[in-house]
Amino acid sequence: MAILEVRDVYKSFDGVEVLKGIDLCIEQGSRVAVIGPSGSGKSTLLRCMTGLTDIDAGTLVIDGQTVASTQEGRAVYIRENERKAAQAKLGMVFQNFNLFPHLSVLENITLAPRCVLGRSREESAARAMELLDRVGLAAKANNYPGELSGGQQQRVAIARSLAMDPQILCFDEPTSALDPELTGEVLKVIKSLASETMTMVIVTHEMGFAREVADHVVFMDEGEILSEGTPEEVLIHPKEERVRAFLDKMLNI
Amino acid sequence: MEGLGTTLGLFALTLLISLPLGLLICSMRMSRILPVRWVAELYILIFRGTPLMLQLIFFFMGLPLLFPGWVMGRFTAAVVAFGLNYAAYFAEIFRGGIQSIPRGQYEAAQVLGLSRSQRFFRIVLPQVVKRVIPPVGNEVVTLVKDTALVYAIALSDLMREAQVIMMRQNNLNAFIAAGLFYLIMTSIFTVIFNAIEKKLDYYKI
Repeated sequence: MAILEVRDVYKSFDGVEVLKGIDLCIEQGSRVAVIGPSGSGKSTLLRCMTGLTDIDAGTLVIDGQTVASTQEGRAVYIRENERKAAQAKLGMVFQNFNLFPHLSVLENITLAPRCVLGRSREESAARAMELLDRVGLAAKANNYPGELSGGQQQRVAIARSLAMDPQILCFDEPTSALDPELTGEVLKVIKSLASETMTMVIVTHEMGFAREVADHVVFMDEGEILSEGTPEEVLIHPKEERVRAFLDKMLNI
Repeated sequence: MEGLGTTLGLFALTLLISLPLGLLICSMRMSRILPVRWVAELYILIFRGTPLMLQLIFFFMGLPLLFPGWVMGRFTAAVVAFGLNYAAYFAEIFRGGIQSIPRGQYEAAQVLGLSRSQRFFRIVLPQVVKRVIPPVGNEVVTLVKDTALVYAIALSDLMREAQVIMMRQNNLNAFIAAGLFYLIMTSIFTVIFNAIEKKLDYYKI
């Protein structure tokens, strides 16, 4: 069953079309890697899914609920609180981590469960410690983000997203802002989540990682999905010349 | 020594008025409703763009000319002029602070489901406070000294009294005492603001 459906979605910024009719169906429990050159609209697509950006036209269905649909050529969203409830099923991990610098690692993770879900301090802290343990940072619970390395910050950001129990976790180039020697620890954590049947959508430039973790690969170029299929189909035996050219460039650096 | 009370009273009342008013004007200046923004922009243009002394004289002597019979006491006029003037500066300091918070902070909070007000009070405001403490401290120290401008409307503050005594005694004692007092005041506030900065230094941006 599809947990997230994107149909014929359009988005432009200041007259520049960034998404030109995107159709994408994400199955429950699948791990989708979105690849493609910079500026192809990958991040915008992710932001439209999570509600950070409103779509101009098209349909968005989250877990069976239609969040936006086209009426008279323009996308119309459902009521704010219903939309919020539907989009709460999506978590997001950012390229630049975006941890809250004034809060400790533990507070970063417990803030939303306490403020939004109304959980108690003890309950949310216990859960946060569990999650920190899972990303290997239990010892840093009382540190501040500024005291952590980039890789550690990103692992905290992953734990922070997980604390809200999302059904779909979106990653927007989670390792692009990291030093090469730090990407490994983050990819390892994402991989460990992948084995837990969490639905994931990962925008990434790490081709090897996409091949290893994803069961579905989407190639985007200039606002359109050029090719999609299993990693085997898209990454190893690409049919489209454009995909082949991109992969050659990526792998020959 | 009555002048000392005037100086301290003007200083305290100015802060009491201008800090909240500055926050209000800042929020108007950042409003999405254009006319509201224009009002705030005009306010800041006028109060930051003309001398404080001109505003002081306007509220004490100009207003009664415009509205005959409407008279403000010297001290009231001074408080109004200082309060409105400093609010314009604080509004711009607050705006700078709010706009310096990266967009990613709002986005992360939004994806986590925090409401607009939660985003502002839990995420943005605490970080803004840390960022505006140095420029606000600067303004407070400036205000200590700016209070001496009230001599323009013949309000008997510390400075004016010191001058009068100096002329009468024909020596510099009162003048030096007044100078020392301003120095002590500014030093106290410098120490206070340094302490606040240090207290907020538990995290790095």
